[in-house]
Amino acid sequence: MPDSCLPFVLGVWSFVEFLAVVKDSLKTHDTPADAVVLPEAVYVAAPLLREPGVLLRAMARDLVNSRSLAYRLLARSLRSQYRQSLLGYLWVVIAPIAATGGVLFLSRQKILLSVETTVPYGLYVFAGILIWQIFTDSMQRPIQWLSTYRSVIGRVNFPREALILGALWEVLIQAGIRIIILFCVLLWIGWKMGASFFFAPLAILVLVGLGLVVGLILAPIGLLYGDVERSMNLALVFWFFLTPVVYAPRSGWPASLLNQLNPVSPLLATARELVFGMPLTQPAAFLAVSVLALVALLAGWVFLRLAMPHLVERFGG
Amino acid sequence: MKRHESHPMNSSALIDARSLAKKYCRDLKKSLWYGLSDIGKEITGRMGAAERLRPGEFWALRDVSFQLTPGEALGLLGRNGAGKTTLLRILSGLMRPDEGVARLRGKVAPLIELGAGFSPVLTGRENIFVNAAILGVSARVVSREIDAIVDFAEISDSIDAPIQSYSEGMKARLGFAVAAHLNPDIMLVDEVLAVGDMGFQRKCLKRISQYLSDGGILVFVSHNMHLIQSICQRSIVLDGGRVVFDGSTVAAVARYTRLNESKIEGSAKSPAEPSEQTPVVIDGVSIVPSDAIEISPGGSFQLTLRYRSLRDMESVTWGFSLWTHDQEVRIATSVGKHDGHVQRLCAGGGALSCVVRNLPLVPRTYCVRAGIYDAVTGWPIARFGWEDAPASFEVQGPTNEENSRHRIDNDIVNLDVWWSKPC
Repeated sequence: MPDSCLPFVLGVWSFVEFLAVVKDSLKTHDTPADAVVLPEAVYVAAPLLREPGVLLRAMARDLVNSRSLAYRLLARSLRSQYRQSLLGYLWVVIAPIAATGGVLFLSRQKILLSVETTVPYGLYVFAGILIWQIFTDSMQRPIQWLSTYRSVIGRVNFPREALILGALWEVLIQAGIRIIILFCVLLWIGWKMGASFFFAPLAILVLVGLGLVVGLILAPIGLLYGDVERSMNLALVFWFFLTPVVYAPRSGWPASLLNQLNPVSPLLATARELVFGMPLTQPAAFLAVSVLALVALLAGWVFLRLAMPHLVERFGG
Repeated sequence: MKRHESHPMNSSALIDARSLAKKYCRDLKKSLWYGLSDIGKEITGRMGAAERLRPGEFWALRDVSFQLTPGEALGLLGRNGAGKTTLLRILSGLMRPDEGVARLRGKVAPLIELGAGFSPVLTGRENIFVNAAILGVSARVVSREIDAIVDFAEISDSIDAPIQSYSEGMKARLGFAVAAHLNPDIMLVDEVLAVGDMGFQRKCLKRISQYLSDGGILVFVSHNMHLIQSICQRSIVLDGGRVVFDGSTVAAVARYTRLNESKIEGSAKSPAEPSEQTPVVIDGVSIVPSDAIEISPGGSFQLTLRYRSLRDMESVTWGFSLWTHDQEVRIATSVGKHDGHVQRLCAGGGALSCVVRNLPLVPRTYCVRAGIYDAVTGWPIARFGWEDAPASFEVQGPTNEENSRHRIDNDIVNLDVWWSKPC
């Protein structure tokens, strides 16, 4: 099995496991905490990459061990977010519905400029914005989680994978809700959905992977330097305009550069084309970015792992 | 605590620390930059060579070694910044040493902070599960122990209220209760028992002794000498990142208080030459045991003051005062004048001396300030130990429970007490 498949398999597998953990947790569940053999830890100054096999095994083991913690932290995060509010969990759907309403209003009033697509423009933009939000979510959530648990990271040596896994699950839950809302809107307006709609979540999963890569690489540095979180919003505004969210991808040079240099473009375009059953315009670029994203995901994970002890000693407890 | 049931092999648990060292940087910007460059080195694999200190760095920990086996409790003593918390953080795997190896076998519960991950809007009960999950304990174990945890923390009335309505003491009690019910093999405790009232502290102590007699391993950091002495047989004293003592806690406490006492405040200035404005200067004060090798409680010492003077001076007197090592408490003052004992100073210089007998002081370090005065007006002619560092001496005593208690309680004077017999 080539290395690049590993994170993908782990990702899918961990999601399946997540469902299992959720099911288990309705009863009671257990981790290897009661194992008879005592765990042994050795801390030395040598670089961890010197023994990549040991590192990868430790990563896989920590990912497995962190599932129940990730679930606890996810529950904590969702409960804490919505408990101190009147509308509670409704907020999960309110934000995307409000965005939908805004876009539909602007397009009916002909305030949004129209582009040549086979899809009504308002719908086209709406789907684009929903998918773009999933991407920004997946990029920002790891940083948010790491800064929420900053003081705990400095004091307890729990598997850091739990934070990433928890953040990923939260992103996936929000993404699922957004896709369901999109589905309902399409049903409501009587759009004829093809089978391709049901492949759109796969493309969106790759987009989440790409967002996670950016998040994983920026999150550790964001713990050291406040500049990262500050500049991220600014960067996202630029990125939004450089990505065909409210406009269709261009093919003429130099506007086509936006597609060729921006890895989000082919992913977002493909996901949207799948939603509306349009012909795929950039399948090759989509595949290339997917493979790159999967490799980079593993690299980002290794980076986080290597960086963490150095970060802990710098930002203190 | 039924540790043996869950860990039948816990007799093999251990901590083995060898030559641990860690560097820190005082400058924040530099430190962050070094952090980035260390991550770079980690990735390129160039890290790990015995490196020198970079600008602004210092050794926060150097050459620390010790081993612990089941049932052992090690106290860590040292002033702030001595490296205690750094050592605990290396042992808990939060950061890696720059040199040396730490090997730990067994489940580790780091109590560097109580209640890690508590969310203010969640209830006490929900937070127990979050906190335990962060400490690596499964929900099943928590479900089994939750009543005991709530009982131990004494918060059964408010366990379903959001934790933001708890007092700090309640939160700390809950945090300790969770950690104490996790059945770890190794506990790393950093100054967390300082919170909580006396009753709760006593309860924690009982729990810890039970844990130790069940074969647990404990590393304990506290500035409370009573606590350390009642929990740990053995202690390490850290100073400037190095181990300066490793042995019985009673002796470690003595060493630690001496360490504190040896840092006498005030800069030692070299005395100025006598001049018309200050015709007399005191060069120094020395204290030596008069009839033994060391100054001991009830013993005696000779105090000698050396001076230089521009000219002969008649009708002067001199005296000294004894102070605690921190120069906060004046213990005694003695001036020759009150004894009708008038001296004269010789042009050039000389020495004045006296003998102090039946010393009523307990073993500790003390400071001496001295002065030469005009015998008629009492006006000071020269002073020593006020603007500059005072002289100091140590009263030595055997390292035993009683003297250790004197040190911990900051006693100064030994009373000669005859206790009546119980009827």
